[in-house]
Amino acid sequence: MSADVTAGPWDVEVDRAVCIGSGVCAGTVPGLFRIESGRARAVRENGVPADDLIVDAALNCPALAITVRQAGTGTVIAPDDADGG
Amino acid sequence: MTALPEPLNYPFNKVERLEFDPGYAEARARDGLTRVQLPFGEPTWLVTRYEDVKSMLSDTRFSRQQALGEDEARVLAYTHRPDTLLNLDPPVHTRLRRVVSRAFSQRRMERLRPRIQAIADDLFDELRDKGGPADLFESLFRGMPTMVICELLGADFADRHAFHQWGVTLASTASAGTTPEDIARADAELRAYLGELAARKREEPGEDLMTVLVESQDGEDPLTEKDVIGLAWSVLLAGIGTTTNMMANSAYLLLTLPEHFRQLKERPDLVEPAVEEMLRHTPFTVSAMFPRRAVVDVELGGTLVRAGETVLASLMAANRDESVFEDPDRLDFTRANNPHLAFSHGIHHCLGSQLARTQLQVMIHGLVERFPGLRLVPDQEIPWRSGVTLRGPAGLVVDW
Repeated sequence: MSADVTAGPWDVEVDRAVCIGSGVCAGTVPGLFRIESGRARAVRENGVPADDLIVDAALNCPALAITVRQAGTGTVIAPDDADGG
Repeated sequence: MTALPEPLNYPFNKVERLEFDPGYAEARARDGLTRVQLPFGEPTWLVTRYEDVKSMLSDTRFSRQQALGEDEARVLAYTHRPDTLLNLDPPVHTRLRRVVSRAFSQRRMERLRPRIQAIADDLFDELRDKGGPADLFESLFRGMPTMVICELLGADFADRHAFHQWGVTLASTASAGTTPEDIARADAELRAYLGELAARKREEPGEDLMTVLVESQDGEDPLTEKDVIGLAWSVLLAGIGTTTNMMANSAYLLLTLPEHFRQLKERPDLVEPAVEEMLRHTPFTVSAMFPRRAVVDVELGGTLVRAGETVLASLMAANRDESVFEDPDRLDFTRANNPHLAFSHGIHHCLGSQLARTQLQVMIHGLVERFPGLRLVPDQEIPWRSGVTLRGPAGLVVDW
């Protein structure tokens, strides 16, 4: 996992068109993700302090609707392409 | 401290076929949560309103793991295993789910879709060639999810019958004539099989769940052999019986509601929303399942749940909440807003939801488009499941 070697802050984006509202993210990082009108939203999208749980939320999202990037460089931290997609 | 209210017996009423227990509407209308006693385990708080159910299921102050054991409120005597994903809390749960999630990602599911279609097409061809009358449960619903799970897992297709038998035995109960010894034997055989499959995938990796699992044994946070087998085991069992049952319930609804069947024939574009609406509408289980224990005092739905007490969320009750779903008892394939909770919510949201959806869509499309004259053979006694937690028909004899 690249999370522990990737320094924050991060940008967190939820693609609400893809989100199925499973609540996996809100259950994993309740302080960051919230379900509103049946879809997830990051209450803070930019400059989010690094936290492995955010990577977990992105990897566990059944719709792969969450993208975590390194702020500034835009390097994608999660999800990665390990599922061959 | 105020005394806890006297618990109501739950399930509330005896219901037949797919009748909906009226006790849920009463519970939603009641102030606070409803104290209930299930056939086994300690009394618990039943959560029935949509927002309360959702909030509880994504609240880490409730532990699933700590609700396990002899005290667990449940309808059947057996207790749940502590090592399946559904029964684990973070951080162990998060770590294991992360691995399995890779095998269930949207992208993998999209690649699996043509295989699912091919499996279904073969079954449809077989059914057509054999001719009616035929039992849809035996010819389609029983086999298809097993074959799909075999495919997902990377098992040999030839082993699907053995898989199916293990699944049936492990999901059955004493009243179905299965002894604890039968269950233990099936469990041991299945675990041995999965161990051999894991060894094979290490030698010959494929595009499948077992390969994902064994490859994660080489990473920096390796899974143990026991983790690998436990995960494969729970995915297998969670994916087969539930999907078969939902197929049977969907077909039952369409065959007994000719207007709805006709609507899908005229508008196949409604199959996807129809699948969602049937998921919302179906009383899928005999009772709510999988209670969680409050680790601290939590205010929930107008009740102060004390640390140490358990709560039980009813997805079925939430799915009929009139404050979210207009005219909730009506089955409406054109419903505009349908954020149902049939696959639960939060960290234990069904891992296989997209796989189940795809299979249900493929199945309903096939029935509607390839068998437009499909109808129940009159005067048959439809056998309904008994002695298990899932509700649904175990046979549907049709002609076309």
